[in-house]
Amino acid sequence: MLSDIMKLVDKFVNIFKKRLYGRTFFCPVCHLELSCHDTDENECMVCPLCGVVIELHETYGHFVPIVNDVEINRVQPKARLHPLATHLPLGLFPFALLGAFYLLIISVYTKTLGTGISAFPFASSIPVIDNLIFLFLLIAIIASALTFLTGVIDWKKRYGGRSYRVITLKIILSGLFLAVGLGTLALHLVVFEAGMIGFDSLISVLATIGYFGLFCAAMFILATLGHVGGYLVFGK
Amino acid sequence: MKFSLTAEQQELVEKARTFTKEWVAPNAVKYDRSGEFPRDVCQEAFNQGFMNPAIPKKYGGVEESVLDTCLALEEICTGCSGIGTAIDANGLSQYPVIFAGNDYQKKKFLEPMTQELMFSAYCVTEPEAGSDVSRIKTTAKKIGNDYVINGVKWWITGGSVASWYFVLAKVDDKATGFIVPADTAGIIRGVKEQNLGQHASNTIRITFEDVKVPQEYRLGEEGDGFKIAMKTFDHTRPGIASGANGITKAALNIGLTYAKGRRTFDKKLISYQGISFKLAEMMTKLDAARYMTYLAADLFDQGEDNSRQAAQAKWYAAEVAMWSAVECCQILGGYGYTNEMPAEKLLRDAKIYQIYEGASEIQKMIIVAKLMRTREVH
Repeated sequence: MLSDIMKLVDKFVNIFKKRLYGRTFFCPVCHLELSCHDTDENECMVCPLCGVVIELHETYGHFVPIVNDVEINRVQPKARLHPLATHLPLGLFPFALLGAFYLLIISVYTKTLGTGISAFPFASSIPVIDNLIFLFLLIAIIASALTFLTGVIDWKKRYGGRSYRVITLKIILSGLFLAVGLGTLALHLVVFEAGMIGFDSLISVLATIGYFGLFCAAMFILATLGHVGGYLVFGK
Repeated sequence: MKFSLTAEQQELVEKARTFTKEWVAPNAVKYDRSGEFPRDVCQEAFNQGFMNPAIPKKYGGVEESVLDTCLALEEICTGCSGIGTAIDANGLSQYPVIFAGNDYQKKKFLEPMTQELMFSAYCVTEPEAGSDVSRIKTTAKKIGNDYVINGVKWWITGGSVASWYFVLAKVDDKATGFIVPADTAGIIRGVKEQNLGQHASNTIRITFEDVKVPQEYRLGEEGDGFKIAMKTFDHTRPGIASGANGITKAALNIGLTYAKGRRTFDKKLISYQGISFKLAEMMTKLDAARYMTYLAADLFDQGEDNSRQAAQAKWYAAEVAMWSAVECCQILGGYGYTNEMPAEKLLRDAKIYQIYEGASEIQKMIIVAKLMRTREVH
């Protein structure tokens, strides 16, 4: 069952990757997967991870990457804000999602069974949890905006502003996360302010599904973003 | 004597080359690493008409000449010989049916293979009987109108995906060929063998435990099996040689591309004779192996005995492929030893050509056997 799900996920990832990356090959030095579209007009590229200068040739459908140079002293931005900022949303967002699920469970349970809130652990802290979710979301979004900006600076300095499909993917995902994250934040304010969390009426069902749908989508984008970013920095 | 391809053959080569560049080579690494069977590539090969080339027109096939098959196969194996084997392996089991099967057998087992993607496998090799086919231990006992087969077959290419098998078994010590549907009770398929190379090709062990086969699935008469199995090799060995030529061609192309691009001591690698002479030798040996292959294939197509030429082509092409793969790795230096470059795969894939469908030593024995019957070599 789990392997089937993994296969399905893998299939979708491969379809998406094929569309964005085209054919890929591996850097023969650091084994980073690179897109054949990352080369310049001379069929050359610099591996974003290890800095080797690769001349990419194709013969009979086989890629033959030839290493003829290496960038040893790669420019590193002095204040490395990008890696610092990037871990804030990655750390806070999952807790915000967990908190929201906890509040949903309490809401459904109390509305369905009419049980008092006091039966739940941390019951007295529910308003605090609500505020924390809001705060975590807000910090995550502000930090992700900062991550985006510092990431662009990193790209310009460390990677020389060269076109890499993996960086394009990061930019797209960051933009997407900002949009979906802001949507989640807005819905959080509306849903919790109006007490619409739960499944007791049609409007609350729609609001809850919409809210958690956006929340989960943002989480998925963020996790993918973290994975892609980590792959770019640490390789396999 | 003509040394050029016809317009149709040139067109076939171009078509196979395009298929190789679009489907085979781009998937070579994926299937080599995963070890999965390349069904999607085979489906495309089927759609484009590269599978089952030997099936007669009467049964829906294209009845391609062996030479044409060799031309296409050389291209495909330049992309990946493992995928090439997966595509071509049907031919090995189909030929006994084409050669010795009756109309009913051909209609039942060959015709469906032209209508949809299907596979078949050739079950001759056993754990104790490889090159020496006569040592096979698998038995077929006649009971009423059926035969009951018992035994173990090993290194069966395409064994997991096959719909039917050509099985060589002994009936009262007489080697006899049978067609055995893969869904027959008593057939136990083993796990995929973890081989050195050609990971895309599916190789398994098959155990036959009281497998009941009706008499009408017997090929030819009792005792015809050895002749059928050997005649099949005259047909398939030029194809095997073509696969080896594909590896040589890939090694040459990769080595050449690398030598032209890589710089050492401020000069291109190809400017050193130590490197460029390797490429010159590779090209010459490839041409020699190719012409031997084409001759063996053409003789078969003309209906002449090609046993010696097929053995020569298979042996020489395999030796050249192995040597070229080693030299290609040497040209690439350290990069020839890493699995992120295509050279090391060639080295792993090439070895099997010196072993399967008769080891190189067996090919030499065939050549010598023919020479012993010759008074003078002209």
